[in-house]
Amino acid sequence: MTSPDRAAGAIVADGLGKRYGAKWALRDCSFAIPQGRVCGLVGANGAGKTTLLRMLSGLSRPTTGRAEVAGQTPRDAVEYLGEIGYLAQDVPLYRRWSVTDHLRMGAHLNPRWEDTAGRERLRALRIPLEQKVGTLSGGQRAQVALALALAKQPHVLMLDEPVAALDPLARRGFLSTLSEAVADGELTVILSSHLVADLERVCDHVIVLSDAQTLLADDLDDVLATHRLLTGPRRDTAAIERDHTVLRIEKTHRQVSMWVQLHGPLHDPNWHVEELGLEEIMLAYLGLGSAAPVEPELSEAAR
Amino acid sequence: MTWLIWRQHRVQLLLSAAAVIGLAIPVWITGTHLATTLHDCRTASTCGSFDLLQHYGAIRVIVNLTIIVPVLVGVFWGATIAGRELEMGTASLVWTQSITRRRWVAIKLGTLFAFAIACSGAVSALVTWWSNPANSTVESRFDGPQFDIQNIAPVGYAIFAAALGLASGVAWRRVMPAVATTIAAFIGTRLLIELGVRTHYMSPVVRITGMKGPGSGPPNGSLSISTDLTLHGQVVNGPVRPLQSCVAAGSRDEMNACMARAGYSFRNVYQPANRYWTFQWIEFGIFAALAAVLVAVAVLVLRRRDA
Amino acid sequence: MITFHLTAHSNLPPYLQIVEQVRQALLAGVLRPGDRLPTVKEVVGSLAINPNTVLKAYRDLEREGLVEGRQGVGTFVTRRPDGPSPSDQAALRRALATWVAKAQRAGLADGDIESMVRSVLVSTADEGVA
Repeated sequence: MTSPDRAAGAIVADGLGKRYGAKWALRDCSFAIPQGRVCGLVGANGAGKTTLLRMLSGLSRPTTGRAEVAGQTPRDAVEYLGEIGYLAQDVPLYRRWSVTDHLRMGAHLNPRWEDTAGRERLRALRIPLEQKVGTLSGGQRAQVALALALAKQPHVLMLDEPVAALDPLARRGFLSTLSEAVADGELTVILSSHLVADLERVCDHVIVLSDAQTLLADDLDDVLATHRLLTGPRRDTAAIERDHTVLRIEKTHRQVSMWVQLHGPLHDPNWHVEELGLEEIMLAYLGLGSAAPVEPELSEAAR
Repeated sequence: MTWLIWRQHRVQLLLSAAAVIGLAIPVWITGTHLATTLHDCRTASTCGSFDLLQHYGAIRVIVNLTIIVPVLVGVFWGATIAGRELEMGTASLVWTQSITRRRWVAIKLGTLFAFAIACSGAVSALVTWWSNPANSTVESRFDGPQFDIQNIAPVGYAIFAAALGLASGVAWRRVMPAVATTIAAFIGTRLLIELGVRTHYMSPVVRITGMKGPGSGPPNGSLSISTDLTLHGQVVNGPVRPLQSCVAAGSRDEMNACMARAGYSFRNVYQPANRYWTFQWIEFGIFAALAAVLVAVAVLVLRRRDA
Repeated sequence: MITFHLTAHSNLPPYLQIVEQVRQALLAGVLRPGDRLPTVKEVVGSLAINPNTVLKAYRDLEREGLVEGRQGVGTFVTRRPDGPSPSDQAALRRALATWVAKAQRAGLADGDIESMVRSVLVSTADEGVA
């Protein structure tokens, strides 16, 4: 087993960029996800999530920079493809094939194939193995696709919006299977999703993309520990803006609210400090750059 | 990978095999009859007295319809073999198994062309065998549609159609537009070559014949390009009225002789029958070369462009 | 054996919810020394959460000396947690009651008091971290 260097990270991007024609789909993306992490990839549609995952899987070539996954450069080679599992958006499967057909295909195409656990799990989920997958529900198809990806025994698993189309129960089932697989071994996962509440449960690392840019890439605990909402009467915010990163600011004539990434202790006790959930932090980041800071004047108008 | 190809295309393969066998049975039965009829009439020297193909109207239509076999290969195999995988997204499923895209492309290409050659080759062999008696008496295998359905030209067309389907499927990444493109581009190219280019493969033979009635056309088994009436070597356009003085000559032969004396003759431009195989190979070569270009483009796009 | 539950509305992060549930179970006598906690895989499979969350909770409990991880066997309860002595708890409670009464006299509503307490907890936690 080729275990990637723990220090370097199981998935590393260094200045990774992809341009389609004149438009950059992803620009100067750098991060390192340590081995064994489950990394959530967040961003608005078109932010570059799919582009990033495709480059990591080797399906697409970067225009700039480089990536390293499980100690190798993603490429069209058996040694690399054997190390990864990839689940594309919309869960592509051969609709007229049965689940067994898919498992047999996997067994024929992959040297390190082990689907015993997968078959058992699919049976436990009461998914008919001999039925055409086109007749299965979305949740069942997602489970089949995940079983295929896991049976490859990959070191790194990449999932592009795997639960987007699923109902809450199917989503929970999918994420349970995924988490169990992570608990089992040395698997590193990167998955994109819009469902931040799900990511907050299953992930321990997050990457935020917006407009082809990487805004944040860190362990979830650190992200949660360093982001705060500060509110207080309106006054000079220069000191806060100097010491910390203000993601979003809302001002009325009397009050200021700031979504802040702290870079150290907050010395001013006059700010009312609140913890932020991942969803609120994401919104603060994704709102970045979309508009100038808002100054709602409603209360003033009412005066 | 062999298993994958078989699992993926077994329905197509079996249906195609069934279609070829379905064609072979009536062609075999009627072809044997036809050969016997020809043999019998030759022994009795009566072949000139009746139309050899008079009772074979229906099968003749079917045999001539094999002209569409290449299009079927292009549509049902070429356009779908990569196009459907790209359309359904299953390409990214296969390309992230432990198999390189290079190998996948190579095996898909091998399957496609092996099938195209086997299918069109089998049909062409049947048609060529069936047409033997007709070739020797009634029809020219060098002329029009007969050239297109016998020997190796149809194999060239099938290779081209398959490549066209493959390239359209890769370009569109969807099956239906690829099918439409394949049909239109195939018919367009075939018409262009057949009507505009084929007669120019070699410089034609020009033959001046006298004013004989039935014998004034090109020789049997050749590819006729034009047959014109000339006066002192100049082509006469429009309706020709026999000279008043010659009409008076009486019999048709005498009239023709009279016209010849006045400077009239027929001019045949044609490709002689002994060039048939050269032309088959040139035709095959052109379509095979076009196919090679299309395959090169398709492979480049498949390997270079993001899935 | 116990099962864990997570609620999105809890103010506690998921790993602390697990820690709390183990402590509650120990205090209530549902779990007794020698009992085995659910394996990481079991918890992860039933809650669909990150394995590290469970590991972190178990490590916390281990640091407190309440449980003990045995390689390849599982995590076992070693003893009951000792909270503050009842008299200490009563004293703290009395002090808080005095302060709450003072806040109410100053005109703060219940909600204001709660949010003030939470804010102080958060900022002291941040100071501690930094």
